[in-house]
Amino acid sequence: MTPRTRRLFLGRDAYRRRRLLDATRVVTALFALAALLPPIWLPQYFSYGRGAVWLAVSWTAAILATAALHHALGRTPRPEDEDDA
Amino acid sequence: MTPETLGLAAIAYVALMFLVAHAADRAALRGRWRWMDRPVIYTLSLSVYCSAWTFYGAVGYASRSGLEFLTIYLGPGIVFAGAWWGLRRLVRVARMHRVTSIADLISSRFGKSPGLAALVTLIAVLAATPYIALQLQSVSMAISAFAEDGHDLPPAIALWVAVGLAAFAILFGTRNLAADERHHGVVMAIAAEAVVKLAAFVAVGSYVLWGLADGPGDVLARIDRMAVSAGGEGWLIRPDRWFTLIALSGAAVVVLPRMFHVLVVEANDEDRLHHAGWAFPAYLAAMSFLVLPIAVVGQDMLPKGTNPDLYVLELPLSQGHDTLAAFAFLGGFSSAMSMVVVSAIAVSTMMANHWLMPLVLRLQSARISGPAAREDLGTFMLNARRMAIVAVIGAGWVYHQISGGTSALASMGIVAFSGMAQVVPAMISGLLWRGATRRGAIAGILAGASIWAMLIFLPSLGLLPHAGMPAGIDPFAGAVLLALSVNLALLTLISLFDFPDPVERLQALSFVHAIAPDASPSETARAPQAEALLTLAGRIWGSEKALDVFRKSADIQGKSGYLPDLTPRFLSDFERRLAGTVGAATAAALMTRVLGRGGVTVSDLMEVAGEASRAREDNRRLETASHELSRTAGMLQESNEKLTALSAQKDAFLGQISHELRTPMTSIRALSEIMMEPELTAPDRARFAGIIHDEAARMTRLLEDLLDLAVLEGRHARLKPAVVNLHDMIDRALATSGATASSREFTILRNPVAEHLAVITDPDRLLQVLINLIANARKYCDAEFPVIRIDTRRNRDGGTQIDISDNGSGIGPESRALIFEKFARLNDPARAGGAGLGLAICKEIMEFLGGSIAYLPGQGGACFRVTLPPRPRVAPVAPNDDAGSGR
Repeated sequence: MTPRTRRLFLGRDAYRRRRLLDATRVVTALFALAALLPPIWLPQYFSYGRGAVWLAVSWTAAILATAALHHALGRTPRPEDEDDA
Repeated sequence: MTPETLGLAAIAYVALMFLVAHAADRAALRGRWRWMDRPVIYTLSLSVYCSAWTFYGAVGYASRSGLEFLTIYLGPGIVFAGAWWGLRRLVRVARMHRVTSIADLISSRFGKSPGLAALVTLIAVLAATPYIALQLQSVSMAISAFAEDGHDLPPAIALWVAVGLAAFAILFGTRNLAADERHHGVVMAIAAEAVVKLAAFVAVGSYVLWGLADGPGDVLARIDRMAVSAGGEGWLIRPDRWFTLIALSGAAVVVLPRMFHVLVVEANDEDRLHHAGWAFPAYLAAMSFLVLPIAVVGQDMLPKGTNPDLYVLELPLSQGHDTLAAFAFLGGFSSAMSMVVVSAIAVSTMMANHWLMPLVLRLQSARISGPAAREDLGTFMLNARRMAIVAVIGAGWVYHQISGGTSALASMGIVAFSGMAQVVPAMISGLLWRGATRRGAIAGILAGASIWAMLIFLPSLGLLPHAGMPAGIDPFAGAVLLALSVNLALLTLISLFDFPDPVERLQALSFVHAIAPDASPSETARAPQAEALLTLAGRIWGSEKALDVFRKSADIQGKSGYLPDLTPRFLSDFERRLAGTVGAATAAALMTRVLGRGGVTVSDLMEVAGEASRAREDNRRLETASHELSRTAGMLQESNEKLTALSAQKDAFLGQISHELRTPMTSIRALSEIMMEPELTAPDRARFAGIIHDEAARMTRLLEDLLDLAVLEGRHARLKPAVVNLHDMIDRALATSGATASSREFTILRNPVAEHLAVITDPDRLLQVLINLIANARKYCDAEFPVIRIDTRRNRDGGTQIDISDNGSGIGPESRALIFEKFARLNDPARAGGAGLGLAICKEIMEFLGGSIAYLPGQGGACFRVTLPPRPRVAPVAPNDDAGSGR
């Protein structure tokens, strides 16, 4: 149980990596909103063909965005002292 | 194609999967697992989420309730999009603690509680049994679709399927007891099945989409026609169900025993979530969106009485595409098979670890350790698991028989989801909140599971009537939200008022902060106990494996042989290894038995906390000390510089004072020798006497100065206060200094009116200061047209301020620190004509008078400010000074 000292500032690569991680969270939140809000809000509009198209498009977009972000994350070197943030 | 051929195909398929699993297991055994240990295999193995329900139930669901079936896939889609956010933490912590199941995770987090593990296992078994029954039913139902009317089905299809799958699970799921619950063969087989599933479903879906319908546009048009048709009412999204089902499925993809097993237990590291984060949602999206065309086209083209659950098979069959239908059947069979096998392995592990082992430990408490207990615990564990597999799948089959394969099974998927969801509050709060306690978790899960059983589970089996919900609330969504709210509320409330025991607090720290708990606060045990531990390990893992583990640990400690020191680190490491086989609660119980140690106490815990905080404290002290040191060093350096400069000044002064004293002495001696000559004329004699007199006076002045300074510094001077007019004082000072000094013409700027200030002070001393300052200005002002300016002002506090400035080049910043020091003289001594005591004396006098003297920078020349107090202080004469002088 060594007391962990958190770095206050990071170098360019580690900083970029943190922001990429943030971006994956944003994509998740946006996709959750897209999947939940419209059908709950306007069920009569989203119950049929329009809803299917809307969900298919937003899900595909979320998958592509996540794939791109994870690809970028995989390429940036992981800093040694990365924490949970 | 007859059901018999199909049965043969299924048997051949199972045989193929046996081969795949066997090959993978053999490769792993030879250490050639690496090429198979890829993220893509991991991602494909996650597809065990898509059970046979995806093939049959989802289509039926879609044709009845429209897009609502998508919620079952959207939830996991959202959870996996954020995989690197939440799941990574879960996988990391679970790997760290070598968690074997969801029950083990919850139990381990909440103080390795055996009760909690047993409770979660109970929910898992309750939820899994009908779910497995559903898979068996789907297989027999699918085969029946191929039977022509009047054709008898082969008998007991479900039984044979159950037997086959149990055999598969036993063969590849309980091959050996590893220190981690990984089954390479099973994973490889379900990855292969994932490909078959996807290919089969995509084949049928594409055929329907482009072969029977006119592409996506046509399907969308058919969907929109549903809106106005008779069945269109059911398609309308109900917001409460939509939200609840997405949340439930998102939770289920993590906590369902089979999902937890492939997602967490079989994961080698968390890095593969990079791949799974997008690839698994892509898999789900492909599987789910193809459901829509099959559902709507099936509804349009097939006769009214057709079971919508079988559209996947009926559509190709109705068009005479038997091979395609058979392929779809194999896909559905694959899904059922992987679901049943993985569920059975996961649930049987839980049952063996959390039900049977604690029971056995209790029954034969005396025979666990020690030389008497030689029987093989490992084989016992494996047999327990095998029995549990048979029991779980058997229960599913019995359930299938009892329920008669009715459509009541169709909703078993979401019933299982909502049951397992009751562990979600405990899991999430356990990972995020150190304050969540065991009692809170047990109360929450018990209450939530009871509500689930009363409102959802038992009614779904037809054992209880469906409870009514207030109008406008969907019964299922309402029941789920009620159960979860009560669960969460109890967990939170009880945790807030609870005080957890030390083991639980250690585990909470470790889970919430993802720190390896390597500082288990238990005293070092003795060597005989190391041997007992080795015996225990040998009985569970087999003695070769146990010896290997012990030798490696001894190696790490730098010891030879097989018995490492039982350091806290080794013990907690060993316990976690053990937990990887038998679960955290059982491992902890076994360790306690063998080592005979009491549990961790609060004081042990405080000691750990104390050590950590002591280390932090030491760190902080060191830091402060080093700051202090560097500050002191800075101060030292400063004073060193000052001392060096002073010392140089002093040397110069000594040289100067010797010179000053010797010069007059020399001339006095020389002149007095000349005066001893008898033939000297009277005027010469008088002139020489005059010079001797002047020189002696100069020496006297110098000595007086020195004495004066000594008196002032020694606080022996006597104050003689009087009221004087400052104007008069300045007049006298100017007159005196003008009388002695240079021939240069000075312009004196004064404000005679303002100068008429009455001051109470020692006039002689003040005069001395003023003369000194004005004389200095006369001496050192280097301007072409020298000006001396004298300003006086009464201060607000009643004191008086006198500024004496000139228009010369002033004193450089580097010298300002030194000018008030004794012996200080800034420039050429010859020009100054003094010994450099003037300002030092002024400073001493002003301090003596209770005022101050300071150099004012930035005034266009040298400027000194003399400040007098309203009245002089009574000169403090220290008693020891008196004593000193009396001696």
